[in-house]
Amino acid sequence: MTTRNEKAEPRLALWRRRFSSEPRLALWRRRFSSPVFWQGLAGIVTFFAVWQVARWLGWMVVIPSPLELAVGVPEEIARTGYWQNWLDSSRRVFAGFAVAAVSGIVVGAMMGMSHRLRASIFPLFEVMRPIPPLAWLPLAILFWPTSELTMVFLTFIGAFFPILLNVLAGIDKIDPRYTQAALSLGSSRGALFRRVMVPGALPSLFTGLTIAIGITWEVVIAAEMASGTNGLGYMTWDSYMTHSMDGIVLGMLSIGLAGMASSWVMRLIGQRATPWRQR
Amino acid sequence: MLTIKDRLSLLRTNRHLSRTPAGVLEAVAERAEEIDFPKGAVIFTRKDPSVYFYVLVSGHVVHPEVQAAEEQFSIARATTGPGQLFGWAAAVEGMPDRIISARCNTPTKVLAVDGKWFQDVCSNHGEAGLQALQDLVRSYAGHERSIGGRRGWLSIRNVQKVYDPYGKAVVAVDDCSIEIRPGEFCAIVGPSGCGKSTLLNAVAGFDSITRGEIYLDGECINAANIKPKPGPDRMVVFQNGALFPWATVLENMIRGPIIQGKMSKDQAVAQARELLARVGLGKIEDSYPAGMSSGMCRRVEIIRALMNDPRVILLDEPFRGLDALTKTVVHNALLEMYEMDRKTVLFITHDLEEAIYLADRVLVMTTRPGSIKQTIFVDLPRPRPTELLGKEEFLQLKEEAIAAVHEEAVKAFEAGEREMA
Repeated sequence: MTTRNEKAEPRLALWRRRFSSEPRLALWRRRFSSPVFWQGLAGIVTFFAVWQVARWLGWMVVIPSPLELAVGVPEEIARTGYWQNWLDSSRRVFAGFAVAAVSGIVVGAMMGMSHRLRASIFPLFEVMRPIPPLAWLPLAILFWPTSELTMVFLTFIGAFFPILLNVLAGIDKIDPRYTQAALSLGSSRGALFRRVMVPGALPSLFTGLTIAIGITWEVVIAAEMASGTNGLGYMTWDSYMTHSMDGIVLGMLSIGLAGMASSWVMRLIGQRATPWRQR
Repeated sequence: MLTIKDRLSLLRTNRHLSRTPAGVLEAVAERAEEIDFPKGAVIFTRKDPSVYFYVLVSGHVVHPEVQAAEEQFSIARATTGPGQLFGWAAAVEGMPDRIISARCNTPTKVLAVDGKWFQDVCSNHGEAGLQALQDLVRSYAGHERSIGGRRGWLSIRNVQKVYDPYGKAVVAVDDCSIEIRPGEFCAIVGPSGCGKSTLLNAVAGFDSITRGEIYLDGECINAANIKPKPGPDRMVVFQNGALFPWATVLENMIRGPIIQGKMSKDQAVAQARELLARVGLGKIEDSYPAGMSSGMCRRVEIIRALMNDPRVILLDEPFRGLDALTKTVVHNALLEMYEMDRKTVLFITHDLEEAIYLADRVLVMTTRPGSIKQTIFVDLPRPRPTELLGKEEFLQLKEEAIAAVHEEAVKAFEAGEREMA
């Protein structure tokens, strides 16, 4: 243990220590030397290989082969508007997700703290929860003045319930011992919330956020196909209408990558925010 | 020389003694020794071991240590009235040392009674006898607090707790009275489900009670029909540990004193580091509990409790689920911390050996409804080394205790069978 200045150890240093990851180079070296990485890569390569072989054998003639895609997809990407589609979809996803996260956390926390509120709201939510986000589409189109708002609203509906339910579950899961210990230590209601409820529910909250961000991508694509004029979902649908097989596949791949990347970012933030769970 | 009859009428004037059941006073009158002290004589001084208690016959005895009289606890600065009782530390279980002295201002005549003998007589007179003893202990503990300046007198009076979850009342604790003197290490042992934890939760303020009161240093902390409030004067160390998993060891330690506004952050950090270093845990201050062994967690939790400078430490089976070796280590750590600063400890366990090894007094609790059945006074000197576990006197105490608990376990088993039938 190094001796350090008694005063120079406030919150900032603590946080810095928490958030500093190991040196980048060492991290990548570790990743490349792990069998898990190579197994994953092998799986992806095999998938494309089987696909290509199937085309050579004359199966699945509708679908372009990976080699054809390797030529066609870059062309599609180079077309004007491709990156704009990413931006448009991402904007909708994050708008809907942000609103859902804020409202889900606030409502969930309030329901977790007050049994009365929970008893009065929960049954209503139980009825609304099984309604698929797309079932809201007709009503949303009629209600919201623009299609943009309609799509954002649908993503919000998709993300809201998983976040809310996970916040609730997180609060429920907190061991009463921690609450009791905090009360023994002299915590006020506010301190109890800040110091026990919040950190106790964080792991579950991030599970909810990770699930929710995946769902928002699903919903936004469907919404764009149905009522959009741009975005990755619209692009995929438009490619179908214009018989561009490369465009369809590119759209699908883009959506997959987008979903994966957002889940990954969410998980990373979750890990950083709950450092005590890393061994 | 006073006749037996004179003695008896003198004893009857005392409000403590007159509450004893029939037969006790007669025995006391017969047994008591009559002693005359000249003017200026010292009957006992502070820190003397207490063997006898006294009833004044005539004269004037002063207790210079007493600053202010407290009617509530029968504390006076002088004993002047015939029939008044003094020096009753001797009648208290565990025979604590004297905390005041007694000096004669005039030639004085007293009746001296052997305290240990008196306790035995009372215990042989059933419920009423025990009640009378309890009263004496209560007065004594109040005495100890107000004169010795020691905090942590826990007084549990006729507590009852009935759970009524599904309309079927379950009496978890019934008519349970315990007096724990400041600085005493008291263990409650009993079979599973006998209401030990219920009692502890009531003291901690987590749970309400349906009858009776609980006092800490003369202050009511729980009673029927009030919603108790937990507080930092009663720190609990939980069965499976309750270090906050999301905070480092240091953050866990400093949280209490900072929340309570007792210390600034720098002070708290400094004290936490000092305490950790003192028990050899200095290197782990930045670890999270998940990365530590359970034995370490328990030790940290105990010193977290000490950080808050509580009046009572409540230990709720804190060693459950530790392996034997770890347990020994944590036991010794606990004893060491107890020696550092003798806080009152209420220790709940189902392990007799550990109770006897750690405590000054072991109370055996009956099964549902829970109340105290037997008291085992552990007269083993402190500090207690680990080798004590193999010594003759330890084993003998253990045997005694096992017999008492066994009877209860059998009863509980039979009661369970009846319930099933």
